[in-house]
Amino acid sequence: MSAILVVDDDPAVGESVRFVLERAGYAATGASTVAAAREALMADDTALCILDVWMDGEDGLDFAAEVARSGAPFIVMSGGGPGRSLESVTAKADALGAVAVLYKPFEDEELLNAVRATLGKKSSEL
Amino acid sequence: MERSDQTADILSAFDDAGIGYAVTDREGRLLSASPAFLAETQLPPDAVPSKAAWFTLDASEAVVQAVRGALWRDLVGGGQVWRGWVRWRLPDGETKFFEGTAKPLSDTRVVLIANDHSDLIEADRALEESEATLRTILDRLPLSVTLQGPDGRIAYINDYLPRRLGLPRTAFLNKGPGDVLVSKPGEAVADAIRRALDRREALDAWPLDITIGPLAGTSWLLFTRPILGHGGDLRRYLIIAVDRSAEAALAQERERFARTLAETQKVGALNDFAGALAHELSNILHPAGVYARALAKDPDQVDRGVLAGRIADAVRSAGDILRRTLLMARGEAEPRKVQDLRPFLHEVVETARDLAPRGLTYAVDPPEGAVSAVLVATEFRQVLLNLLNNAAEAQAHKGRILIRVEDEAPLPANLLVQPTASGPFALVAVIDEGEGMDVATATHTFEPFFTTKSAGRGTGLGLPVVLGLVTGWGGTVSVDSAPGEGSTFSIWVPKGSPKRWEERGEV
Repeated sequence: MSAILVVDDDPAVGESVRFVLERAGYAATGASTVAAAREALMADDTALCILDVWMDGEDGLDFAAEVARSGAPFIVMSGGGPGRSLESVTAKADALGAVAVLYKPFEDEELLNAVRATLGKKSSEL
Repeated sequence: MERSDQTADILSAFDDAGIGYAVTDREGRLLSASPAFLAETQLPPDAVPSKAAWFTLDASEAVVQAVRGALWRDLVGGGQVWRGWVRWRLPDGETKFFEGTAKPLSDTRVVLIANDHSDLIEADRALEESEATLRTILDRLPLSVTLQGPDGRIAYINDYLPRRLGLPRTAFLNKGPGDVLVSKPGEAVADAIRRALDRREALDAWPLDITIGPLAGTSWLLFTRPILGHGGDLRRYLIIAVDRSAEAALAQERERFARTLAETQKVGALNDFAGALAHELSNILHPAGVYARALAKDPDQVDRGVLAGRIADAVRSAGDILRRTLLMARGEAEPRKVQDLRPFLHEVVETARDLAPRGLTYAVDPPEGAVSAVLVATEFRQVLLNLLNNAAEAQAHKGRILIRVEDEAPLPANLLVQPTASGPFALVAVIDEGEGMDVATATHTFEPFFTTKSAGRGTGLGLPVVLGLVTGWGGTVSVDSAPGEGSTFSIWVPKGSPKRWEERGEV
């Protein structure tokens, strides 16, 4: 069964996002480093990737570009970061084809709406 | 017979002493001359008896000889004794100076005595010339030279101050130096200088800022030396004053520039800090929101204790960050103080740890005792945070950054700027595991707008601000690096306060 991959270097954030997804009936897995996320992306049938853009000193947007190339749909989460405005994150995420950009802290419904829209769209294509 | 023997002995002694004598007729023609006379004048023995007057026999110009002739006739004509100097020119152009005496012996005879004093005259003249040269040099020196007599009055002053103030030299002579160097009694610095000068001690590079009077706004360095006589009594007191107003103005300008840079950099740092803070807070708030909503939806769920605990953890974390942020922003115009730098160091390192992504660690290696140094706490935090940020960037926000602290460490040879404090110095070194850089790049890192970071990542103002602030405390900075070996940025903070601050009552 395809799962939603949640990538955030802060375990508390990753856990809380999976908490919402699982209570809504989705299967979710987590990764807290870019390396682990890359591995999971290659190994599993990832239906959707939800990722933070400031991770482990690496630019999360670079990883977002990798995800985009893999063909998996993705949702970007951002809470700012040194020297980065929310506007610039949104612009770059949009350019990469992100389904949605969520600013932490976001409402559960914002997340679930974006997930439903993506997975619903994806199943209609099949 | 006995008398003439005595005369002969005396005359022989004259010869031995190099005092020449001759007998002439009333016209000055030589009738006889002693060997010493011939030796002094370098006249050949066959020149005696002479056909011409003795004073026409040297190589002097005719005019000079004519003047001598007029004098001779006046004297001999009046039957008087002549005493004076003869400037005798030898055939080779050399000049000799004779102390001469001519006395008429009878109506037909005049005795002439010539004592060669050329050496003395030459020595005097050489002395005069060297004194004149020295005075000219002293007058042209770009500094004030004053000699005080034992009574404290000025006995000599070179032309520097009189020229600068547009006053004649005589306006300074016989006055106290305080009247000239210091404008008005009662002013703290002026009194300190006056007391120093009254003690007549040797001072080296004593700073003097003149705030009133015709030299107001100028800064000087005083160097003084008592000059003692053989008995240890004070003969003269030498005061040399160097105007370094230009340097002082330049230093002030530099300080202003560093402060402006600091302000500019604060804006950049604020952006970075706001971004990092937003990231931290959003990561804390987001889970708290999720669990609060879950609890609100179903207050009786089984794991409600776990969820409530996570919310409480989030609030506690946010509170910690809040307190540290307030600590960082505290205080603006703090005075320099001698204080233990370790608490500030730990504060900053804790803040850096809070904001560090996983995989980046900080290790502190402080000495056991207090590390007291002269610093401004807020500035010290800013300096250290700058260095830690740079180190973190240099190693791509992962790995270990080591902070080494020494209570007292000798200054290295490769200092970019000499410290203004005399030391000793406490050392704080930030050692990264980054890529390192060559010597040329390392030296450039303290120049404004120089950055090794990629476009948009660094303002290039962090290290100039560090340099500006640390030199402001009287300390200095150094950098050690090599490609592939990481970098060590060190700050050297004075443990004692420079003299000037003490005078101003700052420390």
